Amino acid sequence: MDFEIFYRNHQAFVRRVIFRMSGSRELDDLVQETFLKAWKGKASFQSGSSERTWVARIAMNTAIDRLRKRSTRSESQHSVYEDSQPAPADQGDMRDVLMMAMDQLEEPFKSTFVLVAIEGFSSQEAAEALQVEEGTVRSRVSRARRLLKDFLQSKGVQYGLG
Amino acid sequence: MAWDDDKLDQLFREQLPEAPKAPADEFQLIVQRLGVWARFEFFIDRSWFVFAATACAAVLLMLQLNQGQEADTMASWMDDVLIESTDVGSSIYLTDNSFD
Repeated sequence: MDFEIFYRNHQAFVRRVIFRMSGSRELDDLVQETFLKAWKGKASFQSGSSERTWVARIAMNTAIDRLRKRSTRSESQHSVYEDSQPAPADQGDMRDVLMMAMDQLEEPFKSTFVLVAIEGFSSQEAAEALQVEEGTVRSRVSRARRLLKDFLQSKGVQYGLG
Repeated sequence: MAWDDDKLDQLFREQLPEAPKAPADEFQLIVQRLGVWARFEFFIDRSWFVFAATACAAVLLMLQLNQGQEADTMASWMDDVLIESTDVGSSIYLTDNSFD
């Protein structure tokens, strides 16, 4: 495994997944940490399995660990998407409402939703990445969707506005 | 109308903001961090030998010190014995004299 090729192949994906999980704060550091962990633990990669799934697992664990640390340091709850100010749906910014919806989604629903619904992982791939059963993935995604729908409805977002 | 799952997923996929661009030197930064880690690992790998050698030296030193202490103790004990025997001898001598 050539490290530069490995980095070029997965850099955009890792960055995207970590951004969806923990926002722009410490994004660069978390991306670097993910690649460091991947390279250090490359012996744990089983040839024949999906490199993308393996990297997704490392990226998710890295992001979740950091989120846990942030919460144990009792930092104030704020949007992980720090670059923008959330606004109510009736003020017209759908993007802000979606960011708020993602913020309020807790683990393990968030990571599962990110992989399956946003990144297009199959239940099997997500199960491998998150090291859970496929049935668990399906139920988590279903629960995440329900929570998101409830949130969007509570903000007055109607079907079809997206 | 209820939200359709696919429609919901599509909404999040398309409307959530993109991640900020990676720094141009990101790969170099990772390589640097890997270099630091590799040097650290190199040190850790070898530090066992350093640790073992230090531990052996410490044990030898302690044994040596202990031996010195034992010798000191022995010497001081010998001194005590000699002093006591001299005292006894003196007292015997004095006692013997008292018979005269």
